[in-house]
Amino acid sequence: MTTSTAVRQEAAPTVQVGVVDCDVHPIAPLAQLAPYVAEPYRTRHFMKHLEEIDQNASLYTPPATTTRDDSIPPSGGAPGSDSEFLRRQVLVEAGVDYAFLIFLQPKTKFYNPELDSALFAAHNEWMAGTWLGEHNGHGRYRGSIRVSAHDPLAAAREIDRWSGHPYVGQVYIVPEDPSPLGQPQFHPIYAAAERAGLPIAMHVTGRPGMYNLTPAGFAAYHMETFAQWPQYFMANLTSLLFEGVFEKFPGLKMVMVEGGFTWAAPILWRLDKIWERLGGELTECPRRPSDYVRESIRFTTQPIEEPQNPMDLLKVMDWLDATRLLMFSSDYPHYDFDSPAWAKGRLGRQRRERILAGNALDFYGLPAVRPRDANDDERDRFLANPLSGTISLVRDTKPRYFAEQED
Amino acid sequence: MSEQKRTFVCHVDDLPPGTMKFLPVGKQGIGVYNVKGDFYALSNYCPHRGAPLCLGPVSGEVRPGDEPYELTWERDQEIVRCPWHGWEFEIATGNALALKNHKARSWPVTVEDGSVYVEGV
Amino acid sequence: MWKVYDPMSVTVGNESVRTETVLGSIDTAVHPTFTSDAELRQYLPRAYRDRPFPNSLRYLYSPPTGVAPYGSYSAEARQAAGTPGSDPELAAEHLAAYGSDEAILLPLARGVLPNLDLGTEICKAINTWLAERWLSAATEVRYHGSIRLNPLDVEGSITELERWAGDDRMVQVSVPLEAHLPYGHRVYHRLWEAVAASGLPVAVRNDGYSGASFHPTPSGFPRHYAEFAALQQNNYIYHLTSLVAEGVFERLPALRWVFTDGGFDVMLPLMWRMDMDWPITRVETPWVPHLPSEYLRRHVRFVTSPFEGPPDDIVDEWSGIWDAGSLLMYGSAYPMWMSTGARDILPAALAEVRDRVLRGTAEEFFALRPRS
Repeated sequence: MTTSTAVRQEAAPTVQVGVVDCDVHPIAPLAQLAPYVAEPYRTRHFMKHLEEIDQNASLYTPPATTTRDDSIPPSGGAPGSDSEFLRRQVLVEAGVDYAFLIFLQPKTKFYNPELDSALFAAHNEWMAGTWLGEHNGHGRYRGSIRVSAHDPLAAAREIDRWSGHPYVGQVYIVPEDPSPLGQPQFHPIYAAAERAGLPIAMHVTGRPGMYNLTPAGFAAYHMETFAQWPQYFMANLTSLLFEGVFEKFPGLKMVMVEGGFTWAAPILWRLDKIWERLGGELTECPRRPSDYVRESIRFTTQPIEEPQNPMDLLKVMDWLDATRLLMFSSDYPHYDFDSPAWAKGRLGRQRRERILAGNALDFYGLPAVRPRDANDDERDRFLANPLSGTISLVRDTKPRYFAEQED
Repeated sequence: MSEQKRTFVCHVDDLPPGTMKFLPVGKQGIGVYNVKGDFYALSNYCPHRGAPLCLGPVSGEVRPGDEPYELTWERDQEIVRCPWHGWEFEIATGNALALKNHKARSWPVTVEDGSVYVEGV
Repeated sequence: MWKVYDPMSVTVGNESVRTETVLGSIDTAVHPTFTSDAELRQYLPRAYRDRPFPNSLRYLYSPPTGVAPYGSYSAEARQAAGTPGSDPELAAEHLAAYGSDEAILLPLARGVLPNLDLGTEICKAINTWLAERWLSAATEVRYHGSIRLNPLDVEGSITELERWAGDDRMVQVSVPLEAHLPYGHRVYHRLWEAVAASGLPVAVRNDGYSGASFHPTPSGFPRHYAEFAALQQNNYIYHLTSLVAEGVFERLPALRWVFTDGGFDVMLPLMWRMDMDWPITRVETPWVPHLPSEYLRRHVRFVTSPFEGPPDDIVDEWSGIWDAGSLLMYGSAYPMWMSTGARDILPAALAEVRDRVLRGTAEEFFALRPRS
């Protein structure tokens, strides 16, 4: 990797990639997806009264808001719905070089895996034309195609269909699944992803219903579930390793997005010890579990934990070998967004370059140098005068909740 | 030296109770608030994770009541909630409600001859 | 006088030392068994005695018997006749060889039973049996007992707790890790109020998958016992976060909990997340005035697991950040297959940390008095 300065004078100007954001959430409006849904589902479900279909509900949400208050675009739509505003806040103001787009909505519903498949195929088609097409002239977005894990053969076909697309960067599935995802019924998905050279990303959706049932009953409050979410990742990580998924598909790569990372080293120590003692049962997993993780699995940063002593965080990162296994994510535009500038200060001098960019560049096979584009000029102007940013849109106005209270 | 510095914000009639005026100074800007007739100025920088604090809604504080699980609403319009993570700060002091060791920077505000000034910037 | 633990006298991995050295540890998790199902039935009221109900073996996730771990019990414990772990004298010999001179007995019950009265009667029978058969025995290792309670039956459990008032052989109450609602929920409040008044901690222990249990992981049912063994202990987090969020520790400052299945290794990362969310979503729970992790030292302890903990070269760093010297207590899990002697617990840790884990913390937490 070259360490030369940002702009080269000769030939086309280029930029050294400094930030790869592995978790950015635009919104896919159902009305825009509907025309892409295959029959019979389009006629049956998506012809009219689309506002009566709830695709986005959450059971446990932070009480204030699920998105940044300042991510509401001036057009008035939902955060993540306005491509121009998202570009401005992510590429210009946050200074992201490559953004991995993960559309959480429409959410997986599970009760009809084929219906999920039809909707996700429509999402993929729509995304390719919009966010990976007309909004991606700069080539800085990578999309996550969605598949229905409980319709594994259709999922595999869908992955095959997008294989080779220049801006499809990965496949997205949800870890709050009724079955641990290492089990054999899911293997066609992994075979296809390996074939296509696409990593698989897992990201919690927080959807309502029975699958929020924990082994000890339903939680009551958001801060319980926030602490509990890594359990989904621990359970699936264990399943994937002990079921031998990475032994069977050595080219498969996975990334655990927004599931925390400080638990990862302790759980890998534990899985290695369990494997030493109980490995006789695990005939599909002939190697030490942590070996597979180093080769095939990565974790993302956001939300970065806040121990009372920030040095503790750096030590825990080193236990995980974070300079290899950890990749930056912001979770834009959600309420628990981590900005690259803030994260930089938390990650420590020796680690930040690998975590902010290097690990993701290697994992996704992205070039470390990219063409300079108009967003870079806009960012230079923004850095020279930060108050010219999207802050200016709300300058001299009443905070938006006043109006609601007074009317 | 900074004692002498002051920045004109607006005419007092343009900052009625329950509103905030954004002052585009420095790197982050400053929010000047009228809370029930008293004026306060807070840095537009959240000490938690660097969000533009003054873009957050002005709100009140949820407090526990006398009975278990009982909630009360107090100090309406005296609290600003960060637009990103939702941390709450007392506008009058800049103190975070949850963790007292976090404080948003604040400046004195004066009113002279019908004009509102932030002192020290 | 107490025997003083001397870490310098221990040679890790030396079998002769393993059986001869007395460390003076307190073993906080020993699981005595019935010689047979019939023994338990003798202690049930006549009206319940003939009732079919699940036995103490694991129906879901029985450990493999042809490969490791070769069934539910450790090879050492199988030297006894009858069910391993059913002979108080023999168990005491084994526990002494593990390095302990005191042990807290926590008999397994039958998990969450849909018939609440049956569940409570089984708990009562276990308690009477434990007191008669184990706590009255003169043994090489001093035994302390647990009062098994059925938390779904709050009133029945309060009555059972009262039955043992003043019996200082009982040093804790015990409830299943499996639950239909996490333990912070208000349906349990009167029970925890009574337990807090008794001064006894609540020990939480996985009770086997023979009752009306939910899935063992939030992502469903894994296919291997090894996955179950790697994950089920994490389920304490649902109770711990619930206890904090519902304000139980605020309303009952004397209530203390010990999680006996392990899972200490991932506890702090999960509590850091709760700490991070607390300033954000405390509007939901303003009755929680402190950072969640600040409740740990006063209210919560964990029992060791042989599968948890760091590589030796970072054990000092780990035990410092994780506060192992304050929060972790040795438990052998005897006679289960993962039974572990005191000298195999964090062998590379600093002597003062091991002293706390093997004895000091438990001595304080259970307010154990010297043997007269």
